[in-house]
Amino acid sequence: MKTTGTPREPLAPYEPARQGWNKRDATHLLWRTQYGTTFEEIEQAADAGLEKTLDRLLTPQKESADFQVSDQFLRQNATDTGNIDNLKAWWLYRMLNSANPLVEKMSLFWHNHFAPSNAKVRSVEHMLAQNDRFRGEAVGSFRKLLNGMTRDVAMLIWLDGNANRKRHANENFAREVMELFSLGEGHYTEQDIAQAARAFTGWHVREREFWFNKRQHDDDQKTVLGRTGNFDGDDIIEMCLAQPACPRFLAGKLLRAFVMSKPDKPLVEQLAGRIRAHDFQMTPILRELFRSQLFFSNAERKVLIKSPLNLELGTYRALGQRPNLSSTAKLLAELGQDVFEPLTVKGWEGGRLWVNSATMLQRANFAAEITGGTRLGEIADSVTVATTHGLNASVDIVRHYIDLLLARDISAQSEKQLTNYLNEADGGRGPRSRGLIHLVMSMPEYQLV
Amino acid sequence: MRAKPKEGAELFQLFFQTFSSILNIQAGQQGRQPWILESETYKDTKILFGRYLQKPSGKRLPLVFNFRPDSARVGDQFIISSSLSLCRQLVDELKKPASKKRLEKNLNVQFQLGPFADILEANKDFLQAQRIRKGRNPQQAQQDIALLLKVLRYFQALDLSTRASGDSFQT
Repeated sequence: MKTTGTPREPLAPYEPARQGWNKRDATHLLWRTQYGTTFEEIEQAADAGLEKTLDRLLTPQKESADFQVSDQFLRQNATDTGNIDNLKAWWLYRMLNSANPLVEKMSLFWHNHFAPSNAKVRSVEHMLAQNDRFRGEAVGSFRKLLNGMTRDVAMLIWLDGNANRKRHANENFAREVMELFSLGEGHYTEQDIAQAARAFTGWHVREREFWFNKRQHDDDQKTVLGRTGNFDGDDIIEMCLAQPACPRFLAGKLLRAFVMSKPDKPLVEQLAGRIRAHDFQMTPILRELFRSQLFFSNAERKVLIKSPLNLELGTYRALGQRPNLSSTAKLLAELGQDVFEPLTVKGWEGGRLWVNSATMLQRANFAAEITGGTRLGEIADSVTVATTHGLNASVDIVRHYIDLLLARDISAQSEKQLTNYLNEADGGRGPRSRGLIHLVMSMPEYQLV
Repeated sequence: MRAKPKEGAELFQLFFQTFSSILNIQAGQQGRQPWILESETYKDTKILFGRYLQKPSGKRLPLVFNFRPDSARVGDQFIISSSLSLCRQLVDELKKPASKKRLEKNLNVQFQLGPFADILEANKDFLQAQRIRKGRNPQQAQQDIALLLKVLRYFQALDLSTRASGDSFQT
């Protein structure tokens, strides 16, 4: 693969007309902004072009009748049973099948940003309400979302809101607002946290709802981030959003989630400037990011290690599978990404931490299971797939799966070996075709997106 | 289940209480309401059942409130069921004259499929969600449940019994 390094104007628009918008570009965009992509979606995006594809991703699309029925069944069942495993299955269903996949991906981004866990909240009702809040502002306003979090019941339980009282301010919530939600370490003092905590006193939960407990609210003067006044929680949020560190903090996270593992300072600064210019409105920010020269530069393709969700759901989507969602959720937990139950308040750090000797083995086993077992559901036979797409020659079938699953060139020798396998390996055409998918998924390149 | 009443009754009650306690611990772990054991007399038969300590009000209660352990003894036959209404139906069934015929069997377990089908019918949404989680689409899930109900209603009851005599064992 050619590498051209970081573009001179990284956030300037990518000009596909000049450089040639093609299926490879479309595949790159779709794998990063959805959980995998189907061959049909790639063709559709390649035909439609970058702008129209971004329109589809960033504007609300009507969900299918099938989706709406299943979504309702799973959601109702999760609340009826109060079982978090059922809520996990519901969300996985949405991630995989929604006509608005970027909304689901951004919902996960916010879930990871705020990182509450049901291990402490212990309520499907509250986790679901919070998840709906993430979804409602997934590509909306970060300002609104951050403000909403201060009154979110799951968040208040997670960060001990009820323990934050006038005479004994609990710093948990204020600390996380500054350290993990808006500014990042090094951009506030311990004094700022102590004073901000006073502004959130009395922001409690009563009868499963947010309740402003006036008697426990400290309405004396506080000094936070260099300003003095009779601040409440809303004021603290606005003061954090006004800090230069806030858009920088968000920019770094967005770049690491969607573009590159180690963004440099000037790049973070540039994106932070755009975040400020758009006043934390995510749709225009994401549009600029996903149509940037940086996003499509060769240097930034296939450089992110797939998260367990990207790996599992991406595979299902690419291979047209309707998986067993309960088994999928369990495997995700084993691979280190247990949705609704992140391990720490910092969420999943991801990147290099996704892979170690244990999870690499499990990732390999996942490839074996999905192509040879039934525990996670069965994939479509590649012979059938080939027929559907009018592919007859083995070399074309191999090329189809390389494009779909790897979205990059591989060496001529590897390609030839795969073709030989499809022609000559033991067993019938069916098992060989599954074996082909297994081999492609076993290549190190398949772990990257 | 058929057994000698005097020898089996206490053991059965102990089993039922232990079973209920385990379910209560599980409910606590999952943040659900616990239940307490109560009893009622229905057609001269004492039914032990679990009652939710604080059952929420509302027209559409979570599905778990449809299930709770119940047990009763009718003559030499023990009943364990998942709801009070089902338990009452089974008491009615076992009190019918035909059911009093003494069977020369060591163990006799009867599955009353009709009432079970009624319970499943009332919880079709739950079952359909379960099928969708396993990868079925809504239409397939609906067909799966319809087929299951049809089979249950067709058989009405299943009877599993064992008999040991001399060196032989029959199932």
